[in-house]
Amino acid sequence: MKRTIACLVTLVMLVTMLAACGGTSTPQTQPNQGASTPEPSKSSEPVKLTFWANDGSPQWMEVWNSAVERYKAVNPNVTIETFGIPWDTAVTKFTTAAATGTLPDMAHLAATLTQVMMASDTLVDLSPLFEKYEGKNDINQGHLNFYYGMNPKVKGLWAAPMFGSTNQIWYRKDWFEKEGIEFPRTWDEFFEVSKSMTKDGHYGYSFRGGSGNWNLTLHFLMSYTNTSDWFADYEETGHTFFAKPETLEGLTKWISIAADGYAPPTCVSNGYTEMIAEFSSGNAAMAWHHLQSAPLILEKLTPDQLGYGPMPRNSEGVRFVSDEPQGIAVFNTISDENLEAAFDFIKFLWTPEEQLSIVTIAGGVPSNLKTDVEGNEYLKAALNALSEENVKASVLPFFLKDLQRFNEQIVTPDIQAMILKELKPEDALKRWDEEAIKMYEEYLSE
Amino acid sequence: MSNVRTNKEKRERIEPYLLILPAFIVIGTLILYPILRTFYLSMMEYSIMRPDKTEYVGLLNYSNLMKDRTFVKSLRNTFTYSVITVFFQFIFGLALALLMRNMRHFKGFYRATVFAPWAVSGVLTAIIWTLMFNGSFGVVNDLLLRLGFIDTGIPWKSTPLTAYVVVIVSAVWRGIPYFAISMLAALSSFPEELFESAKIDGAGSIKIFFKILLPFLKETIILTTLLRLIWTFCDVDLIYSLTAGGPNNSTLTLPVYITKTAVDYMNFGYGGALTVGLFIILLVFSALYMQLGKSSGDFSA
Repeated sequence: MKRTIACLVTLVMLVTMLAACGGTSTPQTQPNQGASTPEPSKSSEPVKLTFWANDGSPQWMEVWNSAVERYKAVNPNVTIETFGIPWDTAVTKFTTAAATGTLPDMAHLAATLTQVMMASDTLVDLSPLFEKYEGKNDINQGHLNFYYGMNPKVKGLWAAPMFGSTNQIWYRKDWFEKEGIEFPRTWDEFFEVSKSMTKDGHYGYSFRGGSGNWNLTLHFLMSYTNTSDWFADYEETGHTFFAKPETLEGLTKWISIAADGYAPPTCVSNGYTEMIAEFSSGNAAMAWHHLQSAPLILEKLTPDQLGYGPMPRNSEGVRFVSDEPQGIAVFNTISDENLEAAFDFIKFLWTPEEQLSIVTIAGGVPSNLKTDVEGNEYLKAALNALSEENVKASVLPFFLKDLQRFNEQIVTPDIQAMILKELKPEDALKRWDEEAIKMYEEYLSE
Repeated sequence: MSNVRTNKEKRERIEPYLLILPAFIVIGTLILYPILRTFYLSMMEYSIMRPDKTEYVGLLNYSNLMKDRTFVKSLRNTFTYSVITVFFQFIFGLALALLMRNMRHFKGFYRATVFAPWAVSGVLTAIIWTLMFNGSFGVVNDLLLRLGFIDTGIPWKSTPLTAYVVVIVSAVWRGIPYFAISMLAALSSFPEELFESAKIDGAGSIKIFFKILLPFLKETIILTTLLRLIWTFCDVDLIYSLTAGGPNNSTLTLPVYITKTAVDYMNFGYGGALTVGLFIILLVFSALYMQLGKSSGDFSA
């Protein structure tokens, strides 16, 4: 009996010692994996957070640095170190940091980068924390659904949406009025206007043929062909929407703007900056981009010169609007204490005042529906365009793990080759269809 | 006595190895290991963007390389870019060296001016020439418009041919000083009496240049063009900053293709295979070139 008691006592002591040893391990070294988000606990201990911005331009750093300053004023125990990364190298920097275990606690990520980081299993699912957030009903459901639908197999809130990168058409109101031309309401009108506004030393449309050309082209094709799902016909035909005849028709018309001289000749190498510069410097009558280009355009053009209108409707009368949100993502290397502080900072950024500050400097439709945008005409116009009838969200299949590779290594050079008339649209679409099928079948097999 | 000698002999035998050990460690860590690692990665499916797909694939990357049209295009571009660039760099460099050799005044000033582009980094060179060749406000278009050669500005970086011209001009500008200084250094040891005796024998300038000067410079020409060809073959910064290989890969050289694959797209497996390809090409090229230099005799032969 004595022996049994002695054994039990020894066992209890051993368990206690092991538990004590476990208790001494630092929580900082425990990564938070995916959906198993730990319960945050509010603390007034000093906290230091690292925050990377995937666009380190002065405009964006002003957004984050000023927000951090205001947050620090009410939370003196929290220090947030911000670091801006040039947009062109953001994917490289973030993926390298993921591979080398040097990711920050959180980051501002655009939709494409969120997808890349989600695919590499580095993001914290914020949904458990969001469900407890008292203001959750004020957050744009469309923006939330974007993240929830990013990986249909593992639903999660992979970033906290801050604003939507809503697309619209910017145009030279003064030139249109002078020519007596109406703003294009359909894609067919858009092509006509691109041709008719190519005169007097300027071009109809500032085509983006350089880096990032895939974005507008793919969204255009989805809108023109009334396609929400690339793979809707896959089970029946074994092909994607790239194989549809109307996609070829749309792509041919789209490329023709650049290839046949209705866009500046430099357009084949124009990225975002050059595309907007061509428009705002008076070299093109129209440009298609999201609201984030507003600050750059408004710097150059006066209200008398600048007009903005919603995306054209397709032949079915449907308007497709890409309203991809940009948000704050938290990386799963964060400690429990820092997770609490990071989500608290996110809640601060969700306040209507901060939301207004973000979209005023950087553009975009605020994710908090309570944000007052009365004083901002182009934001109001974008919101109205979203709330009209027959409007569909244009969302790329972000659940495909190789989407970034497909966009940048296949679609981008193919668009340039088509503009230079070195590749036929039917050959490009055949390749895109084959590549998209490969990505989709990989997704289905996982 | 013999023990002392044996110890001394041992020490003398070991000493050289100990002395080269630090250098060997540095070279091994910074050169040999990365080379071996590249060979290893070239047989892997390894992309940081897709860590879930990492696996050993044997020679698959090499077999894909053989079917890769972009690889073939980039290889062709690399050869033409290197040969054209080095050819013009050499011609202009030699011409400048001959001019500077005969200068009597301000020698230091001219030499410093000619050498200036060599001190400019590839990225800075790219910025300078990007501004010069800008389609809307570039000085090149402005000059051509004023001289009446063109009616509208040329979008230099937007068509394959003109983008290629931009890349070649920029690279030639940057490389001229290398040849100018190398040739000038070689010419400084040229015996003047050879000139004088050739002149007395009635040789003209062209004959002196081809029969005396070029054979004299042969060794320097072989060495400098070989080195320059290898460097130009591996050029990344200038082309990447100027055009990033575009439009439609028309200025894509193999090193830029490697950079885009391995650094931009994080595909180290295929990037490794491309790098091994470049390594082998350069190895074969260098061996052939050196052999050619040995067996060609002199230029007058």
